[in-house]
Amino acid sequence: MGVWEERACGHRTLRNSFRLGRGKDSVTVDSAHREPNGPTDHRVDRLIHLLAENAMVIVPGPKIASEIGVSRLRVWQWVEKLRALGVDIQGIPATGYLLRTLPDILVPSLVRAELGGQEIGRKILHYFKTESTNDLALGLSPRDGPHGTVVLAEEQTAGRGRLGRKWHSEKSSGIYSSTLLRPPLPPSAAAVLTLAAALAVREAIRQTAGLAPDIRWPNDLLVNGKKVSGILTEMKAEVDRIHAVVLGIGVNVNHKALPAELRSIATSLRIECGRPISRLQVLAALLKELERHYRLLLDRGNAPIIERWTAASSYATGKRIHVRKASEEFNAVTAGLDGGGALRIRRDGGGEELLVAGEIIEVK
Amino acid sequence: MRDRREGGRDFSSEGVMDMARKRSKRETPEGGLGLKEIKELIDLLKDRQVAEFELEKRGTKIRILRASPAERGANAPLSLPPLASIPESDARFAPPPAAPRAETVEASEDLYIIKSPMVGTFYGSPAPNAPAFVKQGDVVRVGQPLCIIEAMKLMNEIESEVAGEVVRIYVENGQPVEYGESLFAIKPSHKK
Repeated sequence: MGVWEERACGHRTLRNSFRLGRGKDSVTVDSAHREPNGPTDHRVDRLIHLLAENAMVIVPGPKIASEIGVSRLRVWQWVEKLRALGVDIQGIPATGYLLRTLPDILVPSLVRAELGGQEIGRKILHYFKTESTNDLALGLSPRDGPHGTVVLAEEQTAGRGRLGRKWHSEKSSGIYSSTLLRPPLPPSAAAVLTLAAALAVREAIRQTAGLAPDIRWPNDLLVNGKKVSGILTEMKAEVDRIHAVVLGIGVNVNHKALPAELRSIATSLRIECGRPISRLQVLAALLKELERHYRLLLDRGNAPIIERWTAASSYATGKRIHVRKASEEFNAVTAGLDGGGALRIRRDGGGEELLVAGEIIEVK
Repeated sequence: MRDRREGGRDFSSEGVMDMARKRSKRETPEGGLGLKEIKELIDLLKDRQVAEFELEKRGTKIRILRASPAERGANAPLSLPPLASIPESDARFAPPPAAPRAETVEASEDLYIIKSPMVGTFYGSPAPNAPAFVKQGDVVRVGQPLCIIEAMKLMNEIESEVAGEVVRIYVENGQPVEYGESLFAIKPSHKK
């Protein structure tokens, strides 16, 4: 019986049991165990890295075991788990393991290798399964979560959207990421970060999938009118100082189909392109673009972000929309962004006003 | 604000002073209050069913004591309409730079006012059908979430900066708030 024991992040120490099918290639997660896993053992990261470096070469089991400092049994267990996640590893009896194709798993070493020396992604915490990457990132102390820390999960069991809505987080199909920033800005200036994040995701999708998503204010990314990425930003701040801003970014990448109830409003890059897209490449491009747009905002202020957002979004001006606020709903037409990124709208039969928070949908 | 200790009928001196400042736009240049302003102030205190009010400003001291508790209305509403239309930063309504006097020091120590760090929408609960983070009368600890202010899908969870009792919630769920607008009055549980 294998027990996968991992160091938990912060104050909670958690274990998760895996039953290994005797003589079969199956690994099942003990479903009675409801608590989230801890972060991925860095030795699993090294195992994948080792196999990736030696792709198409048989790496002997004992060599792997000694290089990453675990028993051969543990190596076997981890390989089984990775296989269950879709990593194409061939086990050759009495010889070793062979990685047949590079895995599309977002383990830190593979992501970092793409990033160079930038601040965002300098520290990456990877989870095979967790409740919500945003919750994890928000809970990090300044020491455990310095500026630029990125939390990733292959699967979220309680992925969140705005106002407690669910974010469908199917295993290893999407990117479920939270980027922790500690910007030298007052809280009142932080909202533009949500527009900058939308531009970064849009650019990453453009580079990797060749699509040019529309942006629905403030930061939903739409392809053919359906949502392909959502961003939930959460902040901890005092009146004049930000402790942390967490950009929770979900991208639907390789979902072959979405659940029936989402099909009319959501899509994935794979569905739109007709081919699988490397999550690793999308994530690497996303983190690079986040860094670039964040620097642009700090160096040159809101104006270039607002300008680019306006150029990229069909929702910026002249769009007929339905507005849903906590207190009321009404139809309006958009009339550009103000200097802080709020949406100017002209209410039907009314004057111009500024929309700071609320949900909008296109009226056709 | 002597009545702040009468059970459940606490008012932050700050909220009332804000109102007094905002209502009395025609303050005399010296900063004192004219007869008209005092009348307005009394009306305001009546409207809000404030029992007792004291303001000292540049040598002028005004103290208004209203009728017996029975006449003040036992079910005095504790939430005030938003004062969002006049930004706090407006110099005309800035508090006087007077030397701290015993009264004002005591008032600021008694009630801790949590203010909005940004323009946005106030949410009293984490999701539309979820229970409120806090309600009036709850005792909160430092760091306990009190509400969320949303601006452009940026959710700012406001935490209590002090431990104590929530004596007043100034805004309602879904209501827009301005920068610096008072959100909660907390009566700290330990006095220094």
